[in-house]
Amino acid sequence: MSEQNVILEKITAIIRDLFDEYDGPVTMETTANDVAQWDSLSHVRLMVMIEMELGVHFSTSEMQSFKNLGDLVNAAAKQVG
Amino acid sequence: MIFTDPIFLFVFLPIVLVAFYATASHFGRNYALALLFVASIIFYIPHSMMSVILLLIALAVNFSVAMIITKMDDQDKNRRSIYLFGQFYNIASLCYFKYKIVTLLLGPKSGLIVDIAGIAIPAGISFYTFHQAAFLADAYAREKNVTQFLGRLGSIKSVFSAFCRYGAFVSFFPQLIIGPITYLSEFNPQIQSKRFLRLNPIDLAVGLTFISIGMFKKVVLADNLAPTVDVVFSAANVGAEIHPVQAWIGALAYMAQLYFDFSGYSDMALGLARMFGLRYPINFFSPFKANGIIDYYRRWHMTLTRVIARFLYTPLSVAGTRYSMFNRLAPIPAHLLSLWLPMLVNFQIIGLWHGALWTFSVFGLMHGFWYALETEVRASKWYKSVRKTTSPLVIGFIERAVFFLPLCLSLAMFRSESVAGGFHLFGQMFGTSFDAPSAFNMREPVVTLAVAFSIIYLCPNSVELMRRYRPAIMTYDNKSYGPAFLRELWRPGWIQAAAISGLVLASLYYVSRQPPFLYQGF
Repeated sequence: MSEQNVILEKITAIIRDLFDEYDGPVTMETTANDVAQWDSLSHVRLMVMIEMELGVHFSTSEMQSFKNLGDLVNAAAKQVG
Repeated sequence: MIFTDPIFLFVFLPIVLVAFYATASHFGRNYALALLFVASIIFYIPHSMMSVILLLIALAVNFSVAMIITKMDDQDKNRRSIYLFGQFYNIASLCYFKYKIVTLLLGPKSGLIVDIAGIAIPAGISFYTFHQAAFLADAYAREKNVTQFLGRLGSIKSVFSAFCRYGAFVSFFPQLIIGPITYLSEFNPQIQSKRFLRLNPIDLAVGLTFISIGMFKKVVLADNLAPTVDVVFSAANVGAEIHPVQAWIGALAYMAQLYFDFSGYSDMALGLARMFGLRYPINFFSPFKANGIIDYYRRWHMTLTRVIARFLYTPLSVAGTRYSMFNRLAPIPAHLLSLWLPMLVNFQIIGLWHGALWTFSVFGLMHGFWYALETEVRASKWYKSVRKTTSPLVIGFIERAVFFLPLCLSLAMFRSESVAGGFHLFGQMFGTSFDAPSAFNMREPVVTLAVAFSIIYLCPNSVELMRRYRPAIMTYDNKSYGPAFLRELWRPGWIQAAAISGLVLASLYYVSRQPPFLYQGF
């Protein structure tokens, strides 16, 4: 399993926990628009939870630049790898 | 100059338009942008020579910093220091010239601040400062448009032409004084496009339509409400008794005046830019139709909301969330740190951004609390269950009813000449001074208010009306509210021509009376 997949899996667990009303698919293409609970406040929470889980650090401008989960996973993979 | 000034509309604008398209076709992009830069400086001169000098210094500082940090290597430790110097210059000049913050804190006789030439607040300083601060942040983050925009910067000539491009980007006159606060990623692709510089009759037609609508909103609606507003708020300031009906008319008239003043300006800015083939981000999208304060800030002064959220709220909220999660704080302190505190600071800055007055500070406090409270309510289980069981129509109606009163009161505080005057007005609105003498003739303001609020709630906004022509860059993904059968699409035709001519004639009739745009003072 590639690094990206491992990270996506960990992030998926966090998303299921944080956005408990969402039961749609979580993929590299998922965006905040797909998830009703995913607003700007929970976005910050999600980012910090991912930072803690993976031991990575995002800058605020990075947090705002991710267009979908794929961008996020790739940015995290760069730091983990 | 201001947009509703006949000298601007009938002399300056046509000359600059002809010169722009002539330069574009003979000398190309760089010269055409340099022309826009020079024209914008000429447009700015009547505000004061000192303001022009300050603008040019601010442009030179930000451009130099951007140029240096773009050329520097990421590993270079000085890169961050130089970037921070640039941002320090922006914040410091804003605080100094707009707020004279030391004077505010220590009283006018502190003598700690030397008043340069007794200068008044330079017009547009808060807008062009935010504009450039956002640009510098993009340059620091190596946003791809910045490198392309600055070009290779090899020779003196290339640096000079990059500076003129930058000057046009920041000071282009449709947006210099009152925004929208634009990102380079919105401007650069347009000036790089092949369509830019080509005279397109549709751009002129759409631009003129926007200018006509905007001018009507400002000159006919906003300015006609101004005298009533002035009478009521000055009476409140001196603590006079005001008949509750007249107090309400005053507060409602200010809501409508501020709305159409800013909406009219924003339409004119979009229209003017469009005549030069440029589209700007949308700043105003039916804010009074919002279903709450959160929705309101996605519709009112949207480019300011965007910049403040990016540079202030999000970093504060990230810091608060990190702190509370790493330290495993209990839910209430965690919420205070990650939501309430950042939100209150955020709105205090938005309030004081309008000027160093206590009324703006109280306004900021009201909106900060309200925003945080609404966020909590919308996230609560109770609200979610109510939403599942009640029809959206009923919820929408209740939400708007709840939204209206705090909005009206907070805007009244915003307009008040003092905090005491604001609270006095609230007292009169809900008071019993039924035998107070009439402060103004009611007929005209009531008719104007009825027309104004019907337009606000029933009509499509100008961007919806003209959406076929993509008049603006969307900053937030906002729903269109209002009766569907009235969501008419604009198309060229005799009826539309007659309607626009009517707006223009009415505007010209009133244009001799020329109060400035309210947002000009911010």
